[in-house]
Amino acid sequence: MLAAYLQKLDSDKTNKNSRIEQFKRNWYKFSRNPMNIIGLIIVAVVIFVTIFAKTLAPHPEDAGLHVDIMNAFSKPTLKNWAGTDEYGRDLFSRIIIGLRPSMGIAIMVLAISVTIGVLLGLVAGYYKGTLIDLLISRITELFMSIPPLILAMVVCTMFSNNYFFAAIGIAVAWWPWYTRITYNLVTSLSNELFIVYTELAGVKMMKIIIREMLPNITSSILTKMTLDTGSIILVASSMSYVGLGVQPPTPSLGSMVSEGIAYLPEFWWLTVMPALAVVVIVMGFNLLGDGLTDVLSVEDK
Amino acid sequence: MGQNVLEINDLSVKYKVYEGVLDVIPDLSLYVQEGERVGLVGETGSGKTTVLKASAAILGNTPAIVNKKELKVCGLSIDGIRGKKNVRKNVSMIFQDPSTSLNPTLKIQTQMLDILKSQFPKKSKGFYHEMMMRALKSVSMPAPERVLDSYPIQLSGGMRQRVCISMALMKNTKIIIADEPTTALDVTIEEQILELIDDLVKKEKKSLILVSHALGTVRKITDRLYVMYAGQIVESGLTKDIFDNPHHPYTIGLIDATPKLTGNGIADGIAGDIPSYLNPPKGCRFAPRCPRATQICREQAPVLEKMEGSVDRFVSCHNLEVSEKPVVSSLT
Amino acid sequence: MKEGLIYVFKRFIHILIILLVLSFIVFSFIRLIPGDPVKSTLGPLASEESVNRMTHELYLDRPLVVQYGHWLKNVVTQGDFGKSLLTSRPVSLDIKEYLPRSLELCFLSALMILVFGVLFGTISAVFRNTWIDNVIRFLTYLGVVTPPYAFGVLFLLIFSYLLKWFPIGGLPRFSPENVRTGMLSIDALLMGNFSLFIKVLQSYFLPCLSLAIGSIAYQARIHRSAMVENVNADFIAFAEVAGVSKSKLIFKHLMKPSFIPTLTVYGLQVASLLGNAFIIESMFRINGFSQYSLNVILNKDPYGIVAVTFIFGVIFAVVNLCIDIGVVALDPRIRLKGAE
Repeated sequence: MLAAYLQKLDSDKTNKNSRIEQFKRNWYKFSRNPMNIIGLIIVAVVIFVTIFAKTLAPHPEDAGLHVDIMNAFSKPTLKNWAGTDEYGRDLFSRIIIGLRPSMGIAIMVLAISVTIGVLLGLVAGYYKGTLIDLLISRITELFMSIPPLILAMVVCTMFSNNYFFAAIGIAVAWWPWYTRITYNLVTSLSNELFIVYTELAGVKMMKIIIREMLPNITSSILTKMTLDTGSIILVASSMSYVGLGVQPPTPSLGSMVSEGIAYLPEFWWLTVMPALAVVVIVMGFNLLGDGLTDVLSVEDK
Repeated sequence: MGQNVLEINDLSVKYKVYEGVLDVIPDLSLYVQEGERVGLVGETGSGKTTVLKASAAILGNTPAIVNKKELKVCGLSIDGIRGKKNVRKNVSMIFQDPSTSLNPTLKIQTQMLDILKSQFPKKSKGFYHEMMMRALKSVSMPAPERVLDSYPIQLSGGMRQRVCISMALMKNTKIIIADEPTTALDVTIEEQILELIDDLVKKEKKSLILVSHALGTVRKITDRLYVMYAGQIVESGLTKDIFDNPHHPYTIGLIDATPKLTGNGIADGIAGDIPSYLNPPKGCRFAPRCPRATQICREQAPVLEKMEGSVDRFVSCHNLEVSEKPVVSSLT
Repeated sequence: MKEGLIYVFKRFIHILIILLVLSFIVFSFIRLIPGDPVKSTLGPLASEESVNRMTHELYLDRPLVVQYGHWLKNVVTQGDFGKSLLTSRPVSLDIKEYLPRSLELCFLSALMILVFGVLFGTISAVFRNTWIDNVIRFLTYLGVVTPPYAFGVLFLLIFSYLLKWFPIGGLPRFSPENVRTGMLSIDALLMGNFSLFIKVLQSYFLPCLSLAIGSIAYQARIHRSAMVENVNADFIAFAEVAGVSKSKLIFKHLMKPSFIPTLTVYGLQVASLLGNAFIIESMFRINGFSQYSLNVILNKDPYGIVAVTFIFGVIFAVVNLCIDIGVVALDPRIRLKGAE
């Protein structure tokens, strides 16, 4: 049985075609649900717009302290798709440019928390049952026992209230979830027969973790990252709603909503438009993440 | 014997999955007479459980498309809500794995009580308790009081299956369907459970459908046998006749594959796997694995036909003539 | 039941330890804040002598562990969290003023999450793959991806400004002698003033709904998938064939095991309600604890920060303990295993 398994491993590695075949199968499964495609398109557009925000925005100068009082409080029109604010700045341009810090924070948070979280999860899984495992589990639990938003805000204000430390703050609250998911995946994988066989065959545990387990958990981690991008954007927008993170006059989605509240209900677009932008973006990442989950979990069966 | 307590005519079941439609059971008929014990054998994935679930009218929970021309329990149709009621009144079922067929969050007592209450509504507490104790004692359960007060995880696999059997028997039905009742159990307990089922069925004069891939078991307990392959019945007849003189090459292979005391564990067996239900072979579904397959097998599906001069013996094969001289010997 | 008690007791001890470590870490972390709390309390004109005296009184010249011990002793024995630099009065007084209102808000929201989350989840699962299920699934999707402040804005616009069904914000005012628990609905009932009670609930309705709706949607999705998973379980098929009646099958045999994942997720949702409430509190002008915490954090008020994180930790612990008890009551597997 072991021989058969090792043989299968070899054939898996050499057979590049099967990888392509697998990808085609997954893509077929993914594309059958129109919701997945919608999610993919939204995410693609968001990424594209984030990169080329300055060029795409019809009025890039409105990102700063530009004042055009003649044009203030204009309703959404063909010229200003999302209307204008109290200084006459084009809301659509501000939303597009406000995407940048949101996406930047999301990328930073994910980079930090995935690196720390997965590493600690692997270490805890590797030293399962020892003091190191216990220590890491307890620390994880500790960080999880404060509401993430509060923790992020404490960290952000303690150091410096800017865009960078907002990301650090969210990451401090975020990494434990990656430790936990990695740890759970590693412990459940180590009971799987193919890992047990490899272990019995005398392969070093460290090698098993890097060569066998890591590739097996990447799909789960990637799916979680996609879903989390939406959640982080939500959290970051909640923080910028109360003035933490990106500082004015640079636009950010959350602060645009909070500034607009004062002008309700006459100038509804000041709040509704940026809020709508958040909803659409988060929905895009969630749809994509759910689609990936579906495809990958069917593959498991 | 006489009346048919279960009758399936032209049952067809398809499953819809993302790749397309699985044609699991194209066209199947079987019957069980009163007091008869019938076996259903075939390898894993041959659609045995699907047939049973269709008979017990619980396929509705799965993504199955059931198209039945006629499915009768005790002469009554099982279609619609009324049909479901007929099934509930006349069919009991024992599942494969006792660790998943009891609700993990409810005490045995509660689970038994809910069944009893629907069978005998508005009786006294003492009456229900008496019934439960009697049911547990009938499966020779040690310490029934304690079992009643336990959750499923506090019981061993064998005890759980006994509980399941006692629950299935609490309903006074004519038919008992047992879906591989011993596969999930220890070998040592297997014998006891089977004897128990055998005893109870004999004593209460019930009909039994037993699904199993343990051929030894089936041979001991059943009167008549259906051999299934890839959703079709390939051979049927009296159990004794089939074991003594199997006709269909699949039956021969299956009997040959049972472990023997001599020899090396699992014997030769039949090479290959069950064909994909997504795109089953055009002709005989067994043809790709059949040692006797000829051109006609690959092109035209054989029909289940009664053998001349036999008692209830049906075989579906194009090349029966060859089988007059057995290819492989049966049990040694 | 004995096994259950042992398990819950073990969890309680565990949570207590987590709470102690958490408060110690925050307590030492707070020392990193630049500036001397004594000097900023007494003002720049204070004499060196009085600064030294106060530093000594506040245990600030002792090692960190002793300082922490002193703080903890005061918290446990007198409920004294130290003095806030922001409001220049004891933090405990601030907490007493703001916390009940927020607890009331969160409690009502938690109630909504449980009732509506389970209700919609069950409807969705029972009618799975029909149009009812599809509509609920679409709406819950929207609910999950929309930030709570967006719901707040939407509800304010529609129900308060347009339809004028609910107040635009704020809570009914109570004269001080009528404030007994600090929770307005209970105080109103204690006064025997039923119309005031209704008015309180009316003022709470929109903020609670805005705070809860995302969680309701999430809860409904979790409950649906838990139920659908169990529908295909063998034990449901077995119970069905064995003749358990349809209503018992759904509401007892199916509901009870499905509640286990639902309850675990519910705990997480409820525990984070208070931490997420500050935007809703400011939007609906409810002067609550969440907003107070935000102010304390933004103003780097050291004793305030230690106190609010401690309170958040306690609330998290209490909610978790309740959920643990609930799960233990539902799931004999955990109860029997956990007592070992």
